[in-house]
Amino acid sequence: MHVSLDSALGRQRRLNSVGESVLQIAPNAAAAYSLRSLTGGDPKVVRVRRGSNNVESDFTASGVSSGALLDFVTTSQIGWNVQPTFSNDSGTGSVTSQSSTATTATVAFTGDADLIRQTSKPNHVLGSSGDQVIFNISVSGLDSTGTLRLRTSGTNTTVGSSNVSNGDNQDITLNLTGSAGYLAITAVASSGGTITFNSIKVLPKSGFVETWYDQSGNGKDAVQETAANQPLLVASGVVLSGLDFDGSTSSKTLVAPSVTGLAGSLSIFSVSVRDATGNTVSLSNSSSGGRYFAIQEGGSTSVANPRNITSITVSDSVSGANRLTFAVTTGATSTSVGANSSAVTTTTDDYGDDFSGTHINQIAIGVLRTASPTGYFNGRINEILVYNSDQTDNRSAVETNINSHYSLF
Amino acid sequence: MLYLIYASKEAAIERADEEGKELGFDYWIEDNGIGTRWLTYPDETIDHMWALDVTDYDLDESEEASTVNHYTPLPDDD
Repeated sequence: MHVSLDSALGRQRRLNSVGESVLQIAPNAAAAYSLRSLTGGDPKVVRVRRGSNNVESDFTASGVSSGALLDFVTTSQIGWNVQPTFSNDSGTGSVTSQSSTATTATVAFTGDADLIRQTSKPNHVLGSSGDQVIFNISVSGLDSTGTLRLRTSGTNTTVGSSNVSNGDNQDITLNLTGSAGYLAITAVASSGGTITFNSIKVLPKSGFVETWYDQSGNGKDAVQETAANQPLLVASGVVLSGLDFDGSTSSKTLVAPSVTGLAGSLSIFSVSVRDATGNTVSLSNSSSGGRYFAIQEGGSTSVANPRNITSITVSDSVSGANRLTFAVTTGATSTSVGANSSAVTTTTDDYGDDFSGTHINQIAIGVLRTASPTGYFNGRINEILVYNSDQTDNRSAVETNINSHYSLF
Repeated sequence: MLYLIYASKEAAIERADEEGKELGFDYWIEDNGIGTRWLTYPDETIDHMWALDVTDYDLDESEEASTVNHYTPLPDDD
């Protein structure tokens, strides 16, 4: 049996062998998140919600890379979600006849029909912001151009619209700016007319992360149960390079709750592309805003920010948006950070107490803390590795593996 | 943005649950405690009420009449 020199000397290896995974190079992670395999196998890595109709599915690393995830998110939906029933809600005209099937509908009206819709405003189609809805319609009898609208269910908010005029088999594409929605046909004519929907197709374009699965084997999955706070993974029909956290306008986070054992020496690897300053990850406390160990990506620095009474920071200079940041603390007066494989910068500033017991009980991704939340990240996060040990000896080998995959620097 | 203000977190979550069911989120479909549960989640206000963002909710007339455009969140504990 081959025994390496480092192993024989009782040290952890500093160089990775060809084909070794991150968790083979540096085993015993407390938690490990990525869209690629960190184990060498084909683990479940992510649970995605399709934005158009809220259906969810789990994907393995190969499911992400093979295109299965993209196929799931962008599978087109044919036909109505709810078959429409029309009436005229404004003006002196009226609906004279109508019919519908699972995939078509026809409405005929007479006189001044200013607002043809279904009064209960149900979801005739299901789509979300960024999705496309394509109608094929045939129109006759109008004496002027009207407007076909999709509005958010239960509201008068238009999320897609197009002019309608006489003609057969016209394709109308609506690019949604919000949740859809029900049909509303406005200002159609004073003469009456007939509109036939020959087909309806929704092309979903967006997918959101509900769960980023922990690959360490500890089951510390990072979850977001609130749709409005889920990071984006598929946008405009394309799988993004990482999970997108838009900290400038929203509060996207993923949290692994009830994490035990994050005490003593703690190490974090964070792989991201920043758009603005924010925290990629924090080991924090679910009920106290005063206990955390976080990585913040600034404009020209990567920052380690521990706090267990007193907030202190230590920064490492770095250029560009791509960041591979290593942060480690071995006690209240020893914290280091290194960006993009540079030598670490160390501080002996005292952040209070050594982390122990349940000072830290969760892993929060995309935010500094969840109690009095602040410091939301704006950018893409590719990978987060958390260890309840000092991984300085493994840093070089781990970062070589990461950089060979992402080509960060 | 539109918000409804509730006296308790439980009441706000009950309304968020109702909307989540209406939207067909996976948590309610599979009934196994997994998946997306809410569209939005309540936030504590400075006077210890709970504000729920209902901008994209299907509101009844009573709720529409009760919405507010802003609230003051609980300040940071720094």
